[in-house]
Amino acid sequence: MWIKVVRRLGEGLLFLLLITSLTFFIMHMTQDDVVDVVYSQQQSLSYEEQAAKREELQLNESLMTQYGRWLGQALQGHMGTSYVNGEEVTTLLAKHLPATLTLMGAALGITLLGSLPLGILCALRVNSWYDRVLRLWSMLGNSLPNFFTALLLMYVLALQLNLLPVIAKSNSLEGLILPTLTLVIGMSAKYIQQVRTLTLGELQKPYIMALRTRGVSWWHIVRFTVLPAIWPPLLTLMALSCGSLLGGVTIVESIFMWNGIGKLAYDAIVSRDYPVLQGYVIWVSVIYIVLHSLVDMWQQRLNPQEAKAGEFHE
Amino acid sequence: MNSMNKRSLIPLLLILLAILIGPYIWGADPYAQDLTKALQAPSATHWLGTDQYGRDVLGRVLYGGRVTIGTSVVIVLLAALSGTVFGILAGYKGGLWDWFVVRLGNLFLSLPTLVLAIALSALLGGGLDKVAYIFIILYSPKYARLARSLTKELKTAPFIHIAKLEGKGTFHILWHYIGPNINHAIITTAALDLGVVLMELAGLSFLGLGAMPPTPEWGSMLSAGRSVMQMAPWLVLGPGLGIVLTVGAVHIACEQWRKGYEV
Repeated sequence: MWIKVVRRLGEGLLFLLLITSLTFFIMHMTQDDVVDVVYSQQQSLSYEEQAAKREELQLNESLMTQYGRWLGQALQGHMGTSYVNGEEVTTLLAKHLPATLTLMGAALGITLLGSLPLGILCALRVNSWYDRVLRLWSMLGNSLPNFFTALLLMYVLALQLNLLPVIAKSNSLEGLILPTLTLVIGMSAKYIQQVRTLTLGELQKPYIMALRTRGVSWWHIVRFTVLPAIWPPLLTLMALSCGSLLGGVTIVESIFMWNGIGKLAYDAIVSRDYPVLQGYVIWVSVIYIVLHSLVDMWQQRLNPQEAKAGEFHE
Repeated sequence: MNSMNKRSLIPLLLILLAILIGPYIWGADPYAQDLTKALQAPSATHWLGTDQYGRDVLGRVLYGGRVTIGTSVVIVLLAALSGTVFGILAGYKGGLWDWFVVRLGNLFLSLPTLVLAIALSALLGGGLDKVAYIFIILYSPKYARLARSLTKELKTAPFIHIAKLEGKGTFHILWHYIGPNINHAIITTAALDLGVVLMELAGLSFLGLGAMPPTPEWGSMLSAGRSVMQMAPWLVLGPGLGIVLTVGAVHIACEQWRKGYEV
């Protein structure tokens, strides 16, 4: 097993190097740099001043020199400073990460708390009225892109009903409600469906019938056999949605002005603040790779058979 | 063939019909500006109202559908096609090529696709064509992996062995023996991906990285309508419903297509 873990981490590191190199070179190939976009807009710089600014940011050295310097620093944990406000990228990201994690945690927690009972309920009574309603809901939720959900919620709850401020004070509890709700609507659709399918699969197994004939209650069956059985695949799903959330929150955060790393990335895109954008890609990739490896290991502990089989199978 | 319920295709066909023929029937130019008619509420002449520049929203939604749906279909088709070709070859030939495809596939799968898509298209300066290329590259490893594992399973089947003994060439075997046996799995995955790709594509346009104004595209229309949402909610509702209905219709068709194979 440890060999597998090491190999996985090795692959992850290799790929990280690949992405960073790729993003680095693409970044420096684009025509207009930060001096054009940011500094020229703020104050009209003369040609000489622009050149001086490029000199200061070391943008006019050869590409390989810049890459070498950047990689050397990155390995020591320095990902450069923001072109826009001169702050260290690592500090910037660390400052914004908690907000994103709060949002993701809230959204995932609420989704799980809601979908688990609802999904199991549907599986126990297939084709009942609530099963149909929730299936319709799943379909709708799966078809709603989160930026549209966000705008709808904003329009209904904030603009029409005046229940919440449109743009809440940054990172207050009030401001957490709308982005969380947006993410929950999208995810719960997927989770209810998934929990329902998994539970149905488990309930169709013969041993459930055996338990029932012995008079074991549904509650007991769900609590002690179905839940432990559907837990591992659900965990995988959670890890996967953490990954897609890291990307998905970019849009939601920038709509609701939630000051997390998603919004940081969006602002970096707008102002071509390359070091920040690159730092963001690296951080998110690291989180994603670590998360996936952890889930993999955990699953193998839960099911050692699969681990053995997995070594032969790509 | 597939015993799917054909009625489930009706919503999707209606939407395709609307975006293909709709613009000719409706006749409004999606680019024609008329500032005297800016931000009008829905009326008999403008069913979905007008936008900030007085352009007819229904006309733009119909044209936008061509852009959004058309691009997503092209992305999924090319990703599935290229991925499948690589995957079949890897699964059938094995060796170094196989090793390469497996490694590359694993690496891509261990990555947050949307984050990469956002970052790469931002770095490349945005634009619908660039976003499309990025999506094709990011999505094709999934198909390569699928096609590879299916081919590997089939490779040792007796009928393939017999075909080889009959002297059929590699290409003939791949095309006539392997292909028909794996295409339904590929098509199912592609159909499921279509909805996801459509939403992600619109999302990137919403962030200002995909289609550029004045091109009518659902994501960028939503983004443009967002600032005047309080006065003119129809600007957001039109393209938004376009996305929801299309993705929903694709889901319905998909579900039935899958059921057709389960029976």
